[in-house]
Amino acid sequence: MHWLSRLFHRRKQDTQLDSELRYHVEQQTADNIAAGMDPGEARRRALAQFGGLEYIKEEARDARGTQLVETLVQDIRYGLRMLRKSPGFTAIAILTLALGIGANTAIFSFTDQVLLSTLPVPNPQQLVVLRSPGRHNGSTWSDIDDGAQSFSYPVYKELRDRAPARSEVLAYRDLDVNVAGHGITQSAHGVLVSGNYFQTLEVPPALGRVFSASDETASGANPVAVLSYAYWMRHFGGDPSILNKPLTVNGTALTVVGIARKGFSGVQIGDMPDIFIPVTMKVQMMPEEGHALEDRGDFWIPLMARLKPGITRAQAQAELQPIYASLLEEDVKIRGGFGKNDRERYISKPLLLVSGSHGRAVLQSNAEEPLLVLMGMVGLVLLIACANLASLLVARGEARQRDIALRLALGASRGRLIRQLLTESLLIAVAGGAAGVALASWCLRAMVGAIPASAGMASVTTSLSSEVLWFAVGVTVATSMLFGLAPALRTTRVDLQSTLKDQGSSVSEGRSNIRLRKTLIVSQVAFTAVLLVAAGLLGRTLTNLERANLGVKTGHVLEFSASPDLNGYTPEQTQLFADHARQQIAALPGVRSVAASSIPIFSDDDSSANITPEGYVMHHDEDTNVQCDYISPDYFSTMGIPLISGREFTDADTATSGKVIIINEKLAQRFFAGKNPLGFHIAFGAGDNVHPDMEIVGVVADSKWDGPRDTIQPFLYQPYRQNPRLGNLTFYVRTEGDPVQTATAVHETMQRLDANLPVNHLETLRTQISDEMFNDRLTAILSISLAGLAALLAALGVYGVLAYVVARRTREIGIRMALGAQRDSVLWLVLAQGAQLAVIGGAIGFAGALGVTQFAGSLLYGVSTRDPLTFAGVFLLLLVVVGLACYLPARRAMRVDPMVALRYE
Amino acid sequence: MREAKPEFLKGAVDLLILKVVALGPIHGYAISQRIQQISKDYFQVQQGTLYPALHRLENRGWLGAEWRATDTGREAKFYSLTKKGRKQLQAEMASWERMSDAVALILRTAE
Repeated sequence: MHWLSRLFHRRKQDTQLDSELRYHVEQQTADNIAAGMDPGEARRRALAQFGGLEYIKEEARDARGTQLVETLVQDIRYGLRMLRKSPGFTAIAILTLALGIGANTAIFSFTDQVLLSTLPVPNPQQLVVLRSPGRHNGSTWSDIDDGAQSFSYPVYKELRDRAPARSEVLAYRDLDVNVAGHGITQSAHGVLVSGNYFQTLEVPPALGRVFSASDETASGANPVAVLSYAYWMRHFGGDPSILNKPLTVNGTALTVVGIARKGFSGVQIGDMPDIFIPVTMKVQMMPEEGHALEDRGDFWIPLMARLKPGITRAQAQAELQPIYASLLEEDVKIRGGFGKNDRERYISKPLLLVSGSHGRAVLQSNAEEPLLVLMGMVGLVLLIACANLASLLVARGEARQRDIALRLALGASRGRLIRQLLTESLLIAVAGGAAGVALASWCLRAMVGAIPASAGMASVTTSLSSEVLWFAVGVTVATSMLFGLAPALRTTRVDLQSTLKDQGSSVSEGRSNIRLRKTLIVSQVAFTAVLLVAAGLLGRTLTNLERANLGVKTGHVLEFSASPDLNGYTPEQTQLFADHARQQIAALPGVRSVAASSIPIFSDDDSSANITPEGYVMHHDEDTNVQCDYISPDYFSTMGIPLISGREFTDADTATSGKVIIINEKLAQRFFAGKNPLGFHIAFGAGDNVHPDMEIVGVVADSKWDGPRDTIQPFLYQPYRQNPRLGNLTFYVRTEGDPVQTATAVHETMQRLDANLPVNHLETLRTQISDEMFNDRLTAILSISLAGLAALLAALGVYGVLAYVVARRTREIGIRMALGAQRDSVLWLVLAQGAQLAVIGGAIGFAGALGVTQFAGSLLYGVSTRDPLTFAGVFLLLLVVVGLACYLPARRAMRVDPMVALRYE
Repeated sequence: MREAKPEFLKGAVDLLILKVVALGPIHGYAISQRIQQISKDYFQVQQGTLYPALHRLENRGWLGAEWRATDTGREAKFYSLTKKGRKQLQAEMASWERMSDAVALILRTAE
């Protein structure tokens, strides 16, 4: 019979074996009776002769050869039974594993998507990002890298046309657009791209066509658009009839010519572009910028390139560099107005190629450090989880030593017992792994759900990375096997006689296991100390950031933005619109004041310019760059920025009245030190023919612009009515009560003014700031949770070891008490052991923390990497946690009744 | 107390069973009785050895088994030698003889 069919006929086989053996016993009994015994005695003898009936059955089954599968099933059943019998151990072990696996899988899956994933295009390793560090001497747009990745369009065109041998250069720039259709206008994420963008990235259309060189001819001459697949699905339900229909984008009708391949999300990880538009439509799409496409002094577009097959970065750079150098010389000639130093510096700017397989690293540059720190932390949590599991398994192995010895004595084979113990470890690992996956997916969903829209992580999904999952499962399974096996090997090698005789209360026995467990505990405490220190520093950073004096009263302020220019408003119309909006919102109940500005505060957007202040003697080559913004009347009172001297802007400051400005104290101190700046004049730009013409009418207190980490910059405010290109507006509404309750009324007011104008980012200023600090908050909250988790695991570990030590030493403690030891001294005996573990572990951990935290230095704010308060706090916390974990076993030890203890077992 | 049997005789159990079964279909109890009788009580095959051995031999295809009624009308499992078993018996007998010859040779020489 085939072994497999035998396996299925097991039950039948067993019954047959039963009856075969029963027949034997009956025959023997019959023979015994025939030999003259009485029936009872005859049967007893027959059975006695048989020995263990079950044992024989087992052996006979063994001989049948279906052993492996059968015992596996049996092992699993037995394992489950054993685990059910000690629910405490099982729960802690599974929980430990779940936390370790879950936290790691979640954080690594997140990191994987943000830092490790390459662009979803063919051969991403051929892509490079172009950068040219150095001063541009022009208007520079920048999202990262201090503008080194921004180029002018003429330079792009020449680079592309003159260097086709080794690489294909493409250009792209993202921007906000208003899309009108179906009677409503909505904002969307647009991208201006070069004609070769799709072909170079090898992105085919899902429908229609993508752009080609013929879609990049001349400024304003290419009114076409390609939609992203997701946007097409979301807004047009995947309707193919959208092709060749017009779509009004920023007031310009564009013909939809195609849909990009499904899943294509541009060249920035985290980005989710909706509409692709030819770069030649720049002037139409970015009305506020006011630069012509051919402007060589407008550095606004990032460049990437795909290297031809077999070409290295160095080779491509060698080809591009001389072309770029000659382009810079042309720039200097055509633009003119360069001083000698400026000229030298300008034309010596290098052109560097950096790897572009991960796209333009805008998201990564902000998220990299916090994510690396978090990854380090979850790594530690995994180590702690493993140590905890190991120590649990060792304890369990130890506790079952007698049980195992007994089974060995009864004839169980060593291999079988080891397999049995391993099966148990595996069962725990599998259950823990499953719970870990569930936890990971929950954590990741929570994390992704917490990402604010402004964080630029739209493409981050909640899918778990299978590689990471398997890695975490692998590590924990390996741990459970290793530490399940070690005690198994040790206990199956025990001297049966002595183990069975010994009633398990000897003092000396199991010393090496205790040492192993103590080592595990010390390392857990050490890792926990590192995590707690990191969490403490990051937590203090978050508190410092939240409490940081921004110079702005952030409470009770509602903000929102609108871009009338993108709906075709002229600057004059925009100004009128803003005036109306201010008046009507101010009339709403519960509104104290309302103001508007061109650039939203706390959003990483800024605008800056060189100035020439009246009466200020400039050093040679001095950088007089200051930040600027156009604002409405009541701006400072609405924002809660104190006016130091002079006045705010009023409705009397108009396009036709005299040019006026308000400066902050920083600017006043730098350029008007020791003078009263009121009445002095400032001009933009530099040079001999620049004459200061804007009169300073007010000085306000310093305030931060980008966020709490920002350093105070010199700031110059102009009235928005004196902005000849007024386009984008951000409104601030200071309310009496909860600003959220005014939001609906404000939105309705805006709708009444122009139902077609999208109102964006309607939220409280506080929310905006906290979104801005998303990275800090995520890092702090996650690290505090991880450290708390670690502390919990360490406490469980310490408790486990001490409870075990106390149980083993019950008899010794009893003897000590019988000999007159005080209960207090017994308590201290146990507590001292715990304290020893805490102090050694803490010391190692602190040493490690001092070495490690400096890598996270730039994440911190207002706290040093060696902050004594944090270290002291962590030390106290460790003592408390370990103390609590020790206290329960210590109290048990203290209550040992000497009589009971001496009689114990 | 039973006389202690040399360790290597344990391996002979399979051989003895095959030999006894070769005489004709026979059930487990009878096999142990037969071995005891023929060896004049020298070998008492324990049940704990016998049944596992029978199942092992059956598993290897050396023994066939079939349930049939005994003289008393009870159902019992009768073992018989298969073709493969017969070959195995011959091989084991040959090797046993070689071994006992070798042992005898050494014992004689050592005197």
